[in-house]
Amino acid sequence: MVDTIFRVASVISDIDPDKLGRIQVRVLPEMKDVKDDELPWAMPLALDTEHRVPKIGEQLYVYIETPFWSNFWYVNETPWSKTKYPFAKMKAELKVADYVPEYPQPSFVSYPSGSYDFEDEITGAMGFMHKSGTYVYFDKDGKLDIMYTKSFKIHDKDNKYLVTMDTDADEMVISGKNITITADKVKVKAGGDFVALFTPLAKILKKLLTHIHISPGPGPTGPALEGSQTPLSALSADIDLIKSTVMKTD
Amino acid sequence: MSEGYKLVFKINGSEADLPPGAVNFSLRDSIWGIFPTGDLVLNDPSGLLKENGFMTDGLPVDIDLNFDGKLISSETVVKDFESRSNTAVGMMSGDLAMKLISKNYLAQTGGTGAFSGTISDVITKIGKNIGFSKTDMEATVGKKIWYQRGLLEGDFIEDVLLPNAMTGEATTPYCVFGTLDKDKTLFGKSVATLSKSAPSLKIMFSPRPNMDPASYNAIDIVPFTQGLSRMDLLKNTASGVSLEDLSEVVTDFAIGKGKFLGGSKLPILTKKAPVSTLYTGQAIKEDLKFLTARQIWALRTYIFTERLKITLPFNPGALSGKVIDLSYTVPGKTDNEYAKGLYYSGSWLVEGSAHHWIGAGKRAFSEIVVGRKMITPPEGSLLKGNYLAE
Repeated sequence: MVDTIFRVASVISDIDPDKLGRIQVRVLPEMKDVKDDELPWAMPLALDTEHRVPKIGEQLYVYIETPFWSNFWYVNETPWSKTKYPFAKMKAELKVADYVPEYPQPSFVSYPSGSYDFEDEITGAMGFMHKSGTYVYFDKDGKLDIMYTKSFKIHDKDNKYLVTMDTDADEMVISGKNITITADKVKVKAGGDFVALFTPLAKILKKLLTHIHISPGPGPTGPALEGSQTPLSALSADIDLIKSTVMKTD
Repeated sequence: MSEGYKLVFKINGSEADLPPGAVNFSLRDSIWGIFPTGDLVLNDPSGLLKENGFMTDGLPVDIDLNFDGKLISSETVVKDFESRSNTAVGMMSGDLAMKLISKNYLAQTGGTGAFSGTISDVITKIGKNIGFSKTDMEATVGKKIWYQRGLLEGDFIEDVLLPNAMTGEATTPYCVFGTLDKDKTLFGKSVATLSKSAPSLKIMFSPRPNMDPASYNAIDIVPFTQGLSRMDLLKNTASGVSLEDLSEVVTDFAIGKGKFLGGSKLPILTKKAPVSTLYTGQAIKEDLKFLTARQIWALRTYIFTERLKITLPFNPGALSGKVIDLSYTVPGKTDNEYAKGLYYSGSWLVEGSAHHWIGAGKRAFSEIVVGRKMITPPEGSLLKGNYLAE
């Protein structure tokens, strides 16, 4: 009668010629004299949506059909019984916002590199933490928290439009052909001492140029110019050179 | 010793001068076993046989029994032994009973390698590895890598290879067996092929045994029901088939109607759903073709619906895998007239043979169990044929 057994096997090859996620395994001691090219290819015993191919030399569990030993499947993890059950390790290593794992949550996958995928199936909080500590986290209400340890970059495929933040360079860059900030009021703090109020000077000046006003008074809404006064259009060559400057308000 | 019998014993390679009257033995072969076996009982009145190492596992014991130019030959080793009681005070005397098995059994290595190719090719290679001087294999279909994984070669063949072996016709189980023939051949053939071979022995069972001088006269013939599942076959339920055997290879089967004893329903597999739930991966679809073989193998206990046990004067030609032509007579219409019995007469396949030497009477005789199938499987059945049926 066909049955199945679990055995520990070594990964001999991870290059499946059919690219089906299979690995070539050697079950010891039963296959100690089998030539490498005659060793069986084990199928992943995993969800249809998963793909992770174990590395050569890894030891893992294989699921074997007996008595014929004609079909093999592998469990895509190093057997925890060889080390320790990984929950405590995860709890110690997962540093994501204010999330605190409480057994048995969250469900997680820890990668050999030290990274984690996790989801709290009770609260719905979920995220990914890179081995460096960088994480992307959605809390139970869906609030997104991204923390980076080195740099952060959002960009288009040509790097034409990008936002970068780099802790080493101590710099944040926003680049793009046109950058539009729409707000009733824009406050910028540069350093601790200056809070500047920017007036869109260029826009105001352009408005002045497109309206021919002759005025002895100060400003665009004054009365028309009289006599031999010079029109403001004569200043047009300097408009593009106008830059906003930080002004101390207090 | 009876006139005409020549009995030669070799113990550990040397001819042993054992008195024939103090020896009893039986030698057996079967189409369902790779290694011929035997029993040997020696009278050891002084205990000296034991003292001289006869009770040793693996002790080589060769027995040749020659009668009228016909030889039965076994090269065996002691597999087990027992001595139940002493017959003299102060001496380890008394009968020494030994279980024998073909010496090829000891040549097994329990290797951990792999074999690639058709199963018949693999068995041919293994047969030579374990000392069979000849092999006679019918080709099987389907190639694969098979892992021995430390199994003894005999277990590897019987438990792993045979259930997956089938010939091109794929209708009957595949048997691998060694016999007591002097050539020490390992045979591999389907039951259908064995059954279709020409009869090598004519046997008559009649109150007038000299009717056909070309036939050997049977001493006794009785229906042999051990291992038969006729009652199971008569049931109109599925329980006639061993679900444990089948559960891994089928998800459904049909009860067909065969012409067995007046048309009783016969539980028999059809080609419905030959797919196990385990076989779903793209990479292992190749193995599907072996499932048919496993279905057929699972039916091996149902392959014969009739068996006879025939007792013959010692006949080394009556070995497993041979076909006999039985002539059975029934009383005719007038006194002293006998007619051929149409039901039991005909071709039968020898499933197993046993050849006995009775020391007390200094004579030998042979027993064979013969089988045949007397059914017409229903349409679509994996068990085809009507072979060996009249």
